[in-house]
Amino acid sequence: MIRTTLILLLLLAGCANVQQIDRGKLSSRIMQFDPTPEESVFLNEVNSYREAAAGGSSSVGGGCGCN
Amino acid sequence: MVVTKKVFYSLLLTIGLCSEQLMAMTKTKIKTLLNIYDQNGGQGEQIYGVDQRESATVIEPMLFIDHIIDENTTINGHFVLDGWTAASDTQLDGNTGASGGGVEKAIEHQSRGSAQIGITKDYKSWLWSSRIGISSEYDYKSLNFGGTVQQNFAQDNFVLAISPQVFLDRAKKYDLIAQDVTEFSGRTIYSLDISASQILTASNIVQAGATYIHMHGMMDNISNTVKVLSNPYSNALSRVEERLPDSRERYALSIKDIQAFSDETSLHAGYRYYDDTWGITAHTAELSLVQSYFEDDGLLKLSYRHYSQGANKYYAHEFATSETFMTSDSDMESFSGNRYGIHYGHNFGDYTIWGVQFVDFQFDNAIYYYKRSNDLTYSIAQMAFNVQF
Repeated sequence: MIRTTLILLLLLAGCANVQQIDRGKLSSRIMQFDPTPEESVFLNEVNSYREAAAGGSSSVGGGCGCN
Repeated sequence: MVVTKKVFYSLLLTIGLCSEQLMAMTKTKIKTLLNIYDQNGGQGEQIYGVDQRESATVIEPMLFIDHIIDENTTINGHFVLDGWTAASDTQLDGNTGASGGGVEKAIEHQSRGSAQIGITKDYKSWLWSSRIGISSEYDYKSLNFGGTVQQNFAQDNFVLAISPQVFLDRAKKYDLIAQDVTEFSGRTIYSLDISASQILTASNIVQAGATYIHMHGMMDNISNTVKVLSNPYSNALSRVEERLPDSRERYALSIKDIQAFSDETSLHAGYRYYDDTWGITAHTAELSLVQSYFEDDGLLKLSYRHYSQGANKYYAHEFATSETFMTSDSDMESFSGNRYGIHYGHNFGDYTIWGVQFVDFQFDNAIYYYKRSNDLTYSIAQMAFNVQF
């Protein structure tokens, strides 16, 4: 897994640069990795209750009608 | 316990001081978000009794505050209160399932409060953030810390971030023989996220990430039970508490790509692979179409998420003999699920209410529907107001 991560990082770091003047579109909301971050907090919380692969990185406890 | 109380009061004091400062200065962004969650299901093998209904309703208001102190420093707060009703709770304590409880002991307080405050500073190509949080409900307490270190490279084309977190949690179980909840048991979680993003073209950006989580301590869910064959001649089954290992190592790799088709439209595509030492392997794929309207004042997001997981190696519907580790939690069995969502937000510009000038008054609405292959569905409605002043 560490090897895979390092290969991915090297691949990303090896890409050509886009100049600041050409980044107008990239700074818009539609290009944000999470354009609705506050709403995603609750969605991630629900994922951590209902799916075994989510959670562990937030303090959502045992409630929420866990059964 | 004493330490937790001290930290709790220190947090309250800090929040109070921050609030005073927030009111006295400008450049503050406040978002109130109401989440409503409604779940239905009929195959909860883990539920005590004969009724396997997994119906639950959660109402969870959230408050987010961001305040810019200077051009390099932002403080933020995130506060949550929630209350819930769950059909499964009624199986344990004869409660009505309504929040607040009506019985003398056991599951009485179906509510949770949590608070988190943090600070973010940036300097040249570096960014640091740190946060502290607490969470409290009748069967769970958490004191947690986290932070992020981020650096931009290659004229900000490449961004690398590392985020460690620690959770000092305590949780209770329900003792079926004593018919009461146990004392708190400890659980510690360490997590490390590494992510990197790269601008590929003027209309494409990609992000890759890796997560490692180490959990140690009491991992059983408070009210989960399993059925064990108690009399092989009559095939009688008896209920005992779920038993899970006291450690878990979790790993995830993810990648996400965003492609813009115009100044107003983009497609987000993501994939996440997950594996852990309890034998669960999972795949998540997400696709979102994001469209802006009215010169970026409106934002529409249509999303689809597919999730599939293999079963926990300790999972079974029922057990022929009592084993060291056993669970019948429907969230731990093999299933797949699909979630569909639509989100629309609109910025109405500047508003004056009761003499206070608000900038960028924004209203957001979202609804989601989720269906799982093992007979569980849920719906989510979200409504948010967002102002700056």
